[in-house]
Amino acid sequence: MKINFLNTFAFFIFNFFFSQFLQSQTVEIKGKVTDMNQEPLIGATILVQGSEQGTITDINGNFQLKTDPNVTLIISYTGFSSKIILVGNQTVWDIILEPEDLKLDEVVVIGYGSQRKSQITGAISSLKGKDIQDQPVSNLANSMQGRVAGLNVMSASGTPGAGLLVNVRGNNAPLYVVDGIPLLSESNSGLSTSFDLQGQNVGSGQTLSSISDINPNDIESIEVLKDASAAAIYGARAANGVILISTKRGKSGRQEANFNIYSGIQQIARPIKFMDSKEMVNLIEEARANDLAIFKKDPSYFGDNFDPSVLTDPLDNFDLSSELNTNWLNEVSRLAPINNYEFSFRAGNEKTKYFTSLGYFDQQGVIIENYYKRFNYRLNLDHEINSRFKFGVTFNTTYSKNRRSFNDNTYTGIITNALGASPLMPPFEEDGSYASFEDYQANWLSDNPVKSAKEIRAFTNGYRALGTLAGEYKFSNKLYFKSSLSADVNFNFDNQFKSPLTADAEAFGGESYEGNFRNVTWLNENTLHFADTKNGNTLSLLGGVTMQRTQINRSNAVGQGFPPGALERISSAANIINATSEGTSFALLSFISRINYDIKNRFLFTFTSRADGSSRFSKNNRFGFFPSGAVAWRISKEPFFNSLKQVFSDFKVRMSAGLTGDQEIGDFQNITFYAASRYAGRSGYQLRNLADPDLTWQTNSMFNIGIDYEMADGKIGGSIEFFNSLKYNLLSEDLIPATTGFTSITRNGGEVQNVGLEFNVNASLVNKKIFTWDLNFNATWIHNEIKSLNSDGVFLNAYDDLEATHILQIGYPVGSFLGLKYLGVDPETGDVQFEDFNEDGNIDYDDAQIIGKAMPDWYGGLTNVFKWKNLDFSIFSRFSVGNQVYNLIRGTTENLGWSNDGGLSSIYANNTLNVRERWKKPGDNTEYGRASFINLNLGLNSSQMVENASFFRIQNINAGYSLPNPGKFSSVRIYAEVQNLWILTSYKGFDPEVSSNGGLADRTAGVDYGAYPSARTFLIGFSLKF
Amino acid sequence: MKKIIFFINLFILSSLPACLDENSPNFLNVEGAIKDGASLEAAVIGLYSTLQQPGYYGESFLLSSEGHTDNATTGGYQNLSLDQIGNKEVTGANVISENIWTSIYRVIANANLALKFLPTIEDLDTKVKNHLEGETRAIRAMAHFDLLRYYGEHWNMASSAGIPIVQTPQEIKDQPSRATVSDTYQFIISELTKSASLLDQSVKDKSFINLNAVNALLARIFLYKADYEKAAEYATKVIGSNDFQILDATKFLDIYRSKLSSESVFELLFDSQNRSGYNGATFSRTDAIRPELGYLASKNLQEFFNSRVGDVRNSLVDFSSENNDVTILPDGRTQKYRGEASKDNSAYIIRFAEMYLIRAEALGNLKGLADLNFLRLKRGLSVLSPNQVSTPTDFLNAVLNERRAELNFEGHRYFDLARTRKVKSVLKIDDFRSIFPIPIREIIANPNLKQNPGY
Repeated sequence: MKINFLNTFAFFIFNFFFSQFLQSQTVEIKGKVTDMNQEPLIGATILVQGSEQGTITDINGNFQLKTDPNVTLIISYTGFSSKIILVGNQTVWDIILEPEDLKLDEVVVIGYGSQRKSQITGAISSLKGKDIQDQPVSNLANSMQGRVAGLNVMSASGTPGAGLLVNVRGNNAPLYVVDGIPLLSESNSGLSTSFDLQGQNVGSGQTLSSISDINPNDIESIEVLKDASAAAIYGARAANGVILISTKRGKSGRQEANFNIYSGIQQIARPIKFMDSKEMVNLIEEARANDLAIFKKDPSYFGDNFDPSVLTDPLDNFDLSSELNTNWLNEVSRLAPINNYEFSFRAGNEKTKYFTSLGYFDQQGVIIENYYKRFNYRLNLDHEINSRFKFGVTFNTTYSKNRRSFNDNTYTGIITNALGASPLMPPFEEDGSYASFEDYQANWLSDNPVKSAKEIRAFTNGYRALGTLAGEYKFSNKLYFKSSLSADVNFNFDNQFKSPLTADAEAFGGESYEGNFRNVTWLNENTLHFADTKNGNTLSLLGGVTMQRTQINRSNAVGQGFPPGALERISSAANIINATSEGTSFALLSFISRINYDIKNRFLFTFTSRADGSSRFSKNNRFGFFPSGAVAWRISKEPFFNSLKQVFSDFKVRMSAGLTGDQEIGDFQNITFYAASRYAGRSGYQLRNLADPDLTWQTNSMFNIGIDYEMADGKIGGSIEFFNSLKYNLLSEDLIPATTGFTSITRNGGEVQNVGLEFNVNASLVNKKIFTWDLNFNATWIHNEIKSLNSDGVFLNAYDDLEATHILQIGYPVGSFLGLKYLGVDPETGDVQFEDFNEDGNIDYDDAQIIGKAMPDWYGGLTNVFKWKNLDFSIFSRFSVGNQVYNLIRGTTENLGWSNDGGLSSIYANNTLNVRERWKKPGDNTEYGRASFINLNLGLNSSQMVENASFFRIQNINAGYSLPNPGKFSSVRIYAEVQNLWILTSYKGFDPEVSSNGGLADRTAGVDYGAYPSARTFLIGFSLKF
Repeated sequence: MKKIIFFINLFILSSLPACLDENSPNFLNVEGAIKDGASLEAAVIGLYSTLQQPGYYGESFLLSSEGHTDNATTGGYQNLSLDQIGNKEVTGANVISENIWTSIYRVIANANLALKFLPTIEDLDTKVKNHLEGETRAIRAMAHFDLLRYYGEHWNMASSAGIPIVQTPQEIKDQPSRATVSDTYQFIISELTKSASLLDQSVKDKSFINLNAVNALLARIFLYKADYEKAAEYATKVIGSNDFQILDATKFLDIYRSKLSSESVFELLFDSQNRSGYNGATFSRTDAIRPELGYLASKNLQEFFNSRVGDVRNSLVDFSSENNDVTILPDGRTQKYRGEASKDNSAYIIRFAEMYLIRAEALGNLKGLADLNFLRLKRGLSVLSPNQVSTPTDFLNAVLNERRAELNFEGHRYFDLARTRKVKSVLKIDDFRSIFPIPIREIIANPNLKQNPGY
């Protein structure tokens, strides 16, 4: 290297003097060869026509050449049409080559670099910003739904700003990398929890997603790294796949300003239909009559001391004379506006380029009072100081404010309460005060839902700054060094006030919660890049060291007892009942390397490795090594393929294998520790964590075979992938004897296999000047199975205080439902029947077995884009087959006139119209059992509540018109759009895409406890470019 | 140039792995934590806070046992585990039972850790160190006894269905088997006896373990073991200590309305930042409806009190329709755990009245009536004449009724019925339901455990 450097230096000196003599005969020309997206073409050949003289471009696509001004140059690059230029007097050239085959050769962002699609050996799916822009969603993961094969994105709840269940090839919670910065994907708000009425935490509720801090309209591209070859460069955090998000940057050339606004209205897409007052009262009377008939036959049926008068006495609380008929879903929902404003500007010259944007997004929830607002600012700047040194700045700030919907998807939430409320109860009394639910029956309620919505004021304020300063120094045409320093600063402030009017806080005069979350992540990355082409073979090397440290501080306080008059902060509280302050941190130190070797663009090899050291593991297990290898063969470049060329213009076969890791176990899980605890005014130690000292990385061994093809001269293209991955050394909460003091421990153990197939087709079906039709279709089949476990058959609860809802069992998928097997209604008695699985003669929860699963077998999406003259139209639909939902709220909303423990002048909850299909007389073959006032004639936690949640959904329709003569502007487009237009499903809840735990827990996924309903959105938009 | 890069890398490599050592400001590595007197005291304070767990004396241990008797019915929003307890059909999958089991073993794990490091502490006065050891051993023994009452055949000395005795910090791989009932008793009694010899007799704070509390526990345990002589002996020690006093009928509400009343022998304190679940589970708020509550006072308890004219303890149950929502009726609510704003109700682990009841029962119908009548008079009742309780059976029933009146909603009834073999006759359920099943979860994790007969 040193010698090379001296040589180069000597060569420059020599040239400098020598060129003085030759000035009259030759010119020195400089230039840059790029593709249409201004991405440099590395190793492009510049040849003087009719001679051997020439050069190739360097790693930035630049070249220099001394030649006679009268010659002609041929610039060529594999996969691109050659270009011929006459030198003349022009000494600086910007040469843009057009690809021969357009589809296969777009530039794809990979970890720590970018590559042409034709050179890629791994399984990477790429989405362009234009594919996902202008969708009325708060979270960009929403806009990836159904667009990428192998990626299953499920909205757990319809709440604006809510977290999503993102699953890459069967693995939950991928790593997000935004402009090179890995982000925390978990929710950081202290309000993302569900509480019971005593304020005890009973599970995670509506989570927020940190990724929703990124404005979807700033995105240039999204790449999903799915196999080991693509993802192993992110080593210990890549086991669940990696999603790379690149934001827009400046371009040299024309200035471009973009103004975009849309405005629309949302409504609940699929309201659940409930009985009116009269039908509900009839149901109760039917239930009482049924029970009375049974009692008359067998007076001991309801127990020895049963008093039958409860079946005949008039029901005081069910008097239809009040003529009340409240539709509670209407009372808590609304037509909600949604608005988005966005202004961006990109410009640049040879030296400096920038992109800047401002965005404001305001989504009101379809449930009253709830909203999500976000303000974004971004500046991405690139500057070349000289030919060797350049730097770039990436900076994004976000402020968001979220008015939370209390206890979303929990049995004390606004929606869950509204679903069971009696139509005979008004929201307000005549004097304008909230109606007291205690006065009106329906003892399902924990409060008047309208009161909960208005009097529990919960806000999460998010403050986010993401910034990177990166410098790049070029040592030679073949070698450059890049160093970057990034920071992710993420603060959250939560405050929740439960007014003294609410049932939750009336006993102590109001309650306020305030929580602060502060996360600062520092990241330093240093990489050395080398590329050289000899004889048409290109070798690229990457090596680097990266360091990351994340520090989190969290504090909160809860106060009770507030004076009247909008004094709702902690300082006004009579008592502080809880105050915490905690800190946690982790650090990563990693060494990365990648070798790409491209033999004449026919054979491509990639070897990647990352060694990661994590503070989360004990010293002896600290470092993990994650290698991968891949090979690709462009068969279409081989002579023997020529006969097939008429069909396949390009055909590439890829194969990859390797390891990726997962360290997501939380900090300090590797030590057995004490935490402070108090008694009688003194503080002491209490054991809080039991650790396995041998804790180490969870590893995902991934294998992938893929085919990339292009047919009909690039009009049709796509890929087919087969994958088989085995996650082993699973980091899991394992069951241990509680005699240790703990029921579970984070430990390595167990294996989960994911096998699947992915199909992707892009087709340009019609490509006429006045009419075009483009189609994209993708589909994924996946099979997930637990292969081994430390302890088989562990029960899991979606809610801590409910019976187990899920089980981890070998031979079944993760997220399998547990419950009794429902055998239908006995046509003679109308009783529901269950299988006596353990054959002990008793039906109880010991008979529970696996009764379903949350994960789909098939999913995918279909996009059609039409353009006719100045009109454009797109329709996007997606589907999911084989997924099921444990619809537990039906235990409440289909209770068939039950009184909750019987003998009382009350019922449990109103019923949906579904129960019209109930048993009425012997011989009836019905879906629902006999209405009963005394006995709950249904099986909560049974397969009666497990529903097929397969669906086909028309997700988005967009129709636009561009002005043919936009005048001063370069383009003016107006459009109308419908989001979530139509859904075909047999699911009885609001939406078949639902999950109790807000997005992160695949093990307890797929439970519906009255989650926030999804919205249908109608909007019009206006986009202006100048 | 490469040299420079090399040196940069060398610098990074040599200095950075140290960056991977993160320290938590909230967690203290157990290794090396208990190293002096102050840290040992902190571990013992922490041990009391483990008693406050919701699964133990924070709520479930006491109230779930009541839910399984004729004292209480259960509420809840279709809470299957709670329904199982109310219907007296508890299964091994019951979440509440699982929490009770785990919480008590958490206490034992903390105690074992303190006892492991205790011998290494050198900077403490022997008297202080012995007292700390005595407290720790007593709490550990009490925890074992409470497990035995819930999950072991505590009335049958010949039974093999005791509980796993855990005396050392456990490794993950340890899978202890169940000891026999008599071995379990032997362990508990020897530990408490040792504790009594270690404790500093001058310490009287009733919110902590002291000699009176240990003697009271021994009295209770000997009664369960049907070793009546010893039960009476230890009850007498507590009664004769002059540290307690049975309050008059006019003042007895102080037991529940103030903290550490003169009737408390061992009372676990809670405060506004460490709340107990008793109010939330039994009263919650004035307008509470049935499902909001966990445990309601049963109609059966009302009928019981109706037959006891003059009993001032009747005022601690409220069955009126003015004060209870229609969904609660005909059941009512106990008034022992009021204080809706603060919700810091104590757990009355041992009360002085229990000592009289233990001694009465232990001495039998001839000698024991005086103790029973002493308490009856204090509670506004008339004395029972020897004729009214002339047989041992009548006398035992009178004691059990007195215990029910005095100790309802304090976690005694279920065990009293079990140890006197009355579960079947009184509760009208199968006899095997005198104890709970071992949680299935525990049996999966520890195959050495055998399930209780009948389950």
